[in-house]
Amino acid sequence: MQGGRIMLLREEKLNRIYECEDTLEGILTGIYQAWDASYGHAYIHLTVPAAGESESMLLFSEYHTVVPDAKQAQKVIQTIRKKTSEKVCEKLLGALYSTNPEKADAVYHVLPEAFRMGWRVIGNLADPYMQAVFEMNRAVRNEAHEYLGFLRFEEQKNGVLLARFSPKNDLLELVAPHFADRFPGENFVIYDTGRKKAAFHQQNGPLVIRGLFEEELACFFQISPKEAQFQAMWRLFFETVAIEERTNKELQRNFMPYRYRTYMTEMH
Amino acid sequence: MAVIYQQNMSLEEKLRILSDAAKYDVACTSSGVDRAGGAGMAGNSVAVGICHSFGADGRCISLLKILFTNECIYDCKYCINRSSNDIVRTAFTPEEVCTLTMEFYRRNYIEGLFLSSGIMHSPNVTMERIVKTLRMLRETYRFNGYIHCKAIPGADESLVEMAGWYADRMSVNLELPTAEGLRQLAPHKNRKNILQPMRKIQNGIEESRELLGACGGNKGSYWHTRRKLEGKTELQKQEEDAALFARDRGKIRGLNPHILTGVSPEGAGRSMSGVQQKDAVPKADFWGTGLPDEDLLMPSAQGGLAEADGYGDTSCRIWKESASAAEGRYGIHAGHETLSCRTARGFVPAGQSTQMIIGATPETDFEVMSVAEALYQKFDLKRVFYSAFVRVNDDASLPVLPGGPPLLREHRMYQADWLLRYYGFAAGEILTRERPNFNVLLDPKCNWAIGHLEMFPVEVNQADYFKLLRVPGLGPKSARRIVEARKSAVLDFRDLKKLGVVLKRALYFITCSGRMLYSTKLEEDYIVQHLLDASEKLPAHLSEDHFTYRQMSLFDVGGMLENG
Ligand code: SF4
Repeated sequence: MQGGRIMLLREEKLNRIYECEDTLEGILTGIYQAWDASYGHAYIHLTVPAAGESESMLLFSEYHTVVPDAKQAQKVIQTIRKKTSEKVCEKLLGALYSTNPEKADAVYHVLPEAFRMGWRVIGNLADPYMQAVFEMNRAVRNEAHEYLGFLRFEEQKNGVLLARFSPKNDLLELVAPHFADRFPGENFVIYDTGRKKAAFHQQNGPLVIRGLFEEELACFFQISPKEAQFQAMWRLFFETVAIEERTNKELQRNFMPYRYRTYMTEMH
Repeated sequence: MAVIYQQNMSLEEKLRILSDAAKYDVACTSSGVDRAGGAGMAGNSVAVGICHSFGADGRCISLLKILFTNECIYDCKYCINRSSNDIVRTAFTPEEVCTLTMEFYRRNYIEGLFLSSGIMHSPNVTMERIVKTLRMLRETYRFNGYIHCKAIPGADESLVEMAGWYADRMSVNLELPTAEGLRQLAPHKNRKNILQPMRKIQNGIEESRELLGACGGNKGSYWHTRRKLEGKTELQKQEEDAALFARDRGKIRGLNPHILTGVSPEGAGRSMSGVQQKDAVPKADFWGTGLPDEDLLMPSAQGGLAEADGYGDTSCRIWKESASAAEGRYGIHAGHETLSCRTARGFVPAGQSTQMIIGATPETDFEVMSVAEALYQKFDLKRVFYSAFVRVNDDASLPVLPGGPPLLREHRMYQADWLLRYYGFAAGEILTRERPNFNVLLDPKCNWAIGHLEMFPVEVNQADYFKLLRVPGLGPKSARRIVEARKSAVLDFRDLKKLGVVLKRALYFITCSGRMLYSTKLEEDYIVQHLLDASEKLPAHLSEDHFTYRQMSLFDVGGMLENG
């Protein structure tokens, strides 16, 4: 009975689902278009279907596929920045790098309240969307910060420094600029093994992030002759510098959970 | 004294020996300076600090922490490198240190270098090697990452200054909290020799800030907390400092003006070897009667801290002499090139720190914390580190601690240090002459609160920031949020939880709009009992099964009896 009534209500107005590409640009474009439609926030949902995934179609919903549009995305960022604050904007954008599939929807639904309250929305933890967005942002920023330290580069035969990692959240855009600033004179690649994409940096050149081709992968993993020696010395240092009388693996694990260790030279 | 000095040792072997010998230094942090990278250079620096790994002891690894050499002419009882130990000695070359730093850095193993050293030949020779290494790293290898180096007590001030232009942070270790302790365990060191370079660096930082503005580095958290407590703006407090400093300036020179302007003084270009031979640092009566070292950092007989820090006119005259004697020596590398430092980085922009060994000598916790407070006040230190004593030498003058290093005591000190730097507590509030040791069961803040129940309960909707900070279960973050949030609403207990307050600890000490959460008694025994039940979350290494009361040193047990 109950179900029937809901169906009836829904029949009057269909849910509208915007399927966005899982990139900053894709989601922001989705936000732009959904907002622009003035369809009623309650009936709008944004999703980021994973590539190749055919989402189980919900009944009584109409689907829109969003084609990313740089201009529209840019407009959304500008508006958020203007109507709230730099800090709020940073948090909202941070959440969009999350691995959580609800992120696009959560950010979208935060906006009406954020535009009403301006920068004050930051204190509004009572709003469940806001809470979710802040939580996602926090998780993203934390993980990104950890990888600034835990990422390991290996020198390849051609002198290129290659780092591999497999973060929970989509961190390349957040992590790579730090290393471009740090190593302006190096050629380096940071490869997200899970998402099969990488950040490329050429000596004193710009940073490019894109998918990785199989052929490109094949020419990696040929470490330079010196590489093994420095890896060995790093392991040696790592082991020597710990104080035996204070041994405490649990503390070590708290600070450096196993999931970060996959590509860490000193843990193998 | 047996020195087995090995020629032709491999880099691996040197690294093993010289990192092993450096590991007891705890100041492994890369925080305190933000610096973007630049073309043609390698590296940047991030103020919040980045941990690159965690060792098997759970400590953060962020710097390549090594000694330049483990050779040493001194014989500090607690130190593995002391001259009387029969161990293999070795030394890096500056090139080797640079190679290791650069190669580790570009693989993202480290944030930078932490360079300490045993004393080879003399303090000056040692300091000169350190400076040479840093200079090479910065100028030849174009390293732009983080560098922490030691100032060697007794080294010429011009060398200390040179190092300061290349380093981000410098430290001179106090080693032991009291002059008496030093006399017993580090007979070749004394307080004057340690405090002199500390003061030198402090004044250098002050001048560099004045001349270079923001890139001269910012003030420490202790300074900011005091400023807020005194209700002053940054500018007001700075001006006040500047006035104090101006009075002092004639006495202790911070920086060589020639370096700042890039103009080299007469006679520059002479090789550093001049310093080694002349050993320009005056010996025994250098400080004349001007510096009563015992009283410099210790609580005076009256209970307060000795105000006069002893840098009187006598020392002033000698400083000037020593300064002019050093003027001619700035051609620090053997060539004839005159020196022009890059001053854009600032002078020791991440400030200075120090370290004390805890548990090797019988100081009370009160004494240790009073010394720490004096260091923050008088030397503007960024951090004081506490290092639980590890007995590496079998020496009759060293205590035997059956439970191993006094880790809980060390932990309490870091907690108390936090209270000094961020909460506006004075050392004399946390501990007293009558109760000179930490409570083993309660953290220092809870311990203070139950001793001062007359200050509670605190009304959350009214109390000022620093009153809020004194409530157990509240920290700087939650206190700040409360002050912010109550501008627009009257807060109740549910809000507090959202703002990050740990209610199960705070509930005995606060009211919201005049009401307490439960009807609890404001009575010592009752609260202690409940706080212990809602037990403190100790870090893993202290709460694990392997921690028992046996692990506490004699001094800890003393503290337990005092406070129990
Ligand atoms: S001076 Fe003392 S603490 Fe430093 S290396 Fe020499 S013996 Fe060790």
